Amino acid sequence: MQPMHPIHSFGRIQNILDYALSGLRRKLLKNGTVFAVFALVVFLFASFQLTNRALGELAGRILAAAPDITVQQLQAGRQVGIASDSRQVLQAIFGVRRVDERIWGYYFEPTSGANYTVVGLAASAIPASTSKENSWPGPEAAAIAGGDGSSGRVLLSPGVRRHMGLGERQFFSLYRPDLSLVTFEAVADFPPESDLVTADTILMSLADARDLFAIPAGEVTDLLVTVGNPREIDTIAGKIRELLPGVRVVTRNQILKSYEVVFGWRSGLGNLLLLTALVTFTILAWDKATGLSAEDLREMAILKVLGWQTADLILLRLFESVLVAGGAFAGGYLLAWCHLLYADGLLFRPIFLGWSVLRPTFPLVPSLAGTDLLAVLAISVFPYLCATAVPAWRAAVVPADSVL
Amino acid sequence: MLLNPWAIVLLVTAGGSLFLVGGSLRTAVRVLRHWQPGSDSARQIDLENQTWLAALLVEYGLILQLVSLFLLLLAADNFSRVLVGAMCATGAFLANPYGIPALFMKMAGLFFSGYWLVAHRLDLSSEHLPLTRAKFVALLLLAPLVAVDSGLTAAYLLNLSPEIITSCCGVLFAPGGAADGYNLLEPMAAPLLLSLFYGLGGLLFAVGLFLFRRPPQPPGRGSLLADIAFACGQLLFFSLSLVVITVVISPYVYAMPNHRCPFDLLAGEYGHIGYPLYLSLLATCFAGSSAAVAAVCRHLPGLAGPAFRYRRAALRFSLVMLPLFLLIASWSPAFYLLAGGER
Amino acid sequence: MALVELAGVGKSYNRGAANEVVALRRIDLQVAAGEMLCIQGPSGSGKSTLLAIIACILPPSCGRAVLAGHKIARLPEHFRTRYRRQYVGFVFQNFALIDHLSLLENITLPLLPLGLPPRRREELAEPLLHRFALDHRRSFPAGRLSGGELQRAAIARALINDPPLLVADEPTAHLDSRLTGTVLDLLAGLKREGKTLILSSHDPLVSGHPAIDRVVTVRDGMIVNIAAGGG
Repeated sequence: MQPMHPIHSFGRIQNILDYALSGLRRKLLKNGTVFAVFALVVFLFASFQLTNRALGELAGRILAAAPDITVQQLQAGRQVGIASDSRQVLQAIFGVRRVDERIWGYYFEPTSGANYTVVGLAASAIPASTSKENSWPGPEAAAIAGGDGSSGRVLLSPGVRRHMGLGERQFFSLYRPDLSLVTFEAVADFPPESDLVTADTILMSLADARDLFAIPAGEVTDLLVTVGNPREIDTIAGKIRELLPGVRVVTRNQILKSYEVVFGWRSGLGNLLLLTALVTFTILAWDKATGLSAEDLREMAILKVLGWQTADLILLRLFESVLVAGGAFAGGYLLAWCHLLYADGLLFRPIFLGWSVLRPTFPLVPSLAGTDLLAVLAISVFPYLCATAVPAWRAAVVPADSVL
Repeated sequence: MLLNPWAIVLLVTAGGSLFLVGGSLRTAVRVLRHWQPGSDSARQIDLENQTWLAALLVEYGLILQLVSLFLLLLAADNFSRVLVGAMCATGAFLANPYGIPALFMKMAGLFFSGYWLVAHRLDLSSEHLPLTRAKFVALLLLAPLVAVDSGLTAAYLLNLSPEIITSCCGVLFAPGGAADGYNLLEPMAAPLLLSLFYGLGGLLFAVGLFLFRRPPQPPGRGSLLADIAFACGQLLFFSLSLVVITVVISPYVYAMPNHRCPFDLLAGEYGHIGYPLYLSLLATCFAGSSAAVAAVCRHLPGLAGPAFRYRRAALRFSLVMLPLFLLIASWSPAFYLLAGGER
Repeated sequence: MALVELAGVGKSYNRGAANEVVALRRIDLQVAAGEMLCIQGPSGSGKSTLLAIIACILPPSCGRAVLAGHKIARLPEHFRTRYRRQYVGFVFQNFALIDHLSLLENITLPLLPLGLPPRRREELAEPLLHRFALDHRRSFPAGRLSGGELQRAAIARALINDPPLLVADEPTAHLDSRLTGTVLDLLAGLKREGKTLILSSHDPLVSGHPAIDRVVTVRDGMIVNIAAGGG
């Protein structure tokens, strides 16, 4: 008796994969359609998901810089300056660690058409050089401090420097509202990694900002409250509302919530996901219905008579599905990523417009995260494979004698 | 939280598992009612074909189960950023009473479907298909397991709300901390845990080596009991390892004495060490305990050879993975103790 | 020892269903190793079913079937496939080559699930291509081969695993008399090398060929006559 033919399991897998590939090449048209629609589905889903991530990272960074509570004065429903004296009232609330004054405004430069964000902080609010990494402004801000008075020293973002055409020069001038000039010395730039938050910012001392915007003494645009215990924030915000009627009290949490309202990404994404799943399954249904031609069945039966096991044939069909789904997944995801990175989400601009309200110039930088890939994979490829399991099996168990 | 992308991903995979198991369940019922080995009736041929489908679906289910286990961990990590008070996945899992059961149910499903596939492979290796009936009875047990798992996952997601304040791992696993009696693992001291951990690990290695080296035994109660005891030891070691990793080993990885979290190990900040750690543990314990599945079946017609071969291969694999796991697990603490500081 | 032993083998299709058809009843047949057997009978007599049972493609409904010492009557399908790929080369009546694959690919199809690498597969196919004068056609798609080439390719494919038994269902049905002679001579050559051959045919050219040892006549699913052949 002859010895049993040995089976080289790795070679077997390789051969069957090869065979599946050549089969796919042949049925290019049919598989091409499935491939394209599938890739489109992945593209849609991945676009939203990548934007979501980019946005989440953006919100996280902006929020890291946001104070626990911001207090602003309202008059006739519009924001006006708030009296610096209110500081004492806030400071007296138990649980408040610190209250800082801030002047925050926009400076429009007609020549370049740019809108700079001017932030003026009191010396006490500017962190010492040992400040922790994530806080804003960073340790460089110490350079602008000049006692309590005006120092004329400012901190710029590299973007503003470029816009103003400063080059290596240090001195530049801005107009007061009465069109008289104020001269500033740019002592340092923000580090590039803080660009997300500081892209259009000029940071100066409180007195300089007051001078630039001609804000009367004893007034600032907002008061920033730092709270010791994060869980106390809402309680303290409530107390502030009681103590200072007519002010707007914004907590960090509310900013987060308002971001979410503006973006609406949760429900939008959710709906889109469901739609995606639906579309995926539509393709599947179609694929399933058209998957098995008489020719395919004959080929399967021939292979079976020639000694292919049911398991081999199942593997063959599985590889076909995996190749189509995997290729479409990679293609769709890459397309979404490039679309967002290089074309700035061109196709979805109308849908995503809400996001640009806060920072129109902001580039969305999608990061490639393994977990995101897995999530998209789980929602697009796995359902496809599950649904193709039954047709794969049906093709594989075709009776061998049907070809006789 | 149902509209969170991660929740949708989890629900889709849960739905997939249900679909797969539901499909195989249909086959199981038909096989148990009509199976006639040796017949060539149209129905029997159809049933034989259907067993392939059932096995294929369970194989897919196993992969899905493994992936969804990791998805659940990643999702919980993601939820922890949304939930108040949760700083890592532990907090997210404890946000409602369904999280931890869902996690354990997934692991149970993973082991069970793995054993099922071992039995299936053995069944196919005998001309008599001696395990077919038993296999499909077992499938009837696997199906509710997956259903409960999917239900728990859905319940967990449904009851997850950003407004609920949850706790964090530092509170839960800190020795002597948390006065509210919510400390899960307080009674166990580190030296005791560690000696149990390494003791049991060493014992399992020695016993595994003995079982591996021993020549084929005639089917008998004694050798069967030894295999089953070894399998139980492996499962015990699995549970113990999870506790030890959480309470003793993880703080060394984080270099923070009060950060005791079994989930953050998977994060990139710690070099994804959790993946090799948990995968090697899973491999060790699954392979070691699945040897008992083969041992139980070896008296069946045509299975003596295949069962022996499988058992040997499984033991060998387990014997390779066990030291690997111990090495990965001991790496951070050992480095900390020897070098006197973090990496 | 007989390579093939059938005792009381019967086969019904769709057994247990309403449209049950009896194809074979109580077949007793032994084929010795090295024998060349011709099974003849009108179409619908059960020839093909008989060949399919011998070739482990179909399980018999009843009776005892042994191939090379293995009982093949009550085997799960994947065991039948295992024995088939080890002991049997099967030549289809309609050749059953896959049109879009090249001749070489067609011939090496049985080797794929064994995991042989492409170079090894080609090495095994080389002598067969040469022997059946198919060298120059190796990269032709099977759809563009002539009838005689198709038949030779089908035989080459059946031999790629070097099986001891070659089962050919109507190997000459689609060939003219000249090509029939060529193919039969090829098969006779295989017999001289020690292969066992079982052919089915209703062509007297085949049953009368000098290499045929025995001619088995089947009618209505039963063996009605076994005669010595031209050999």
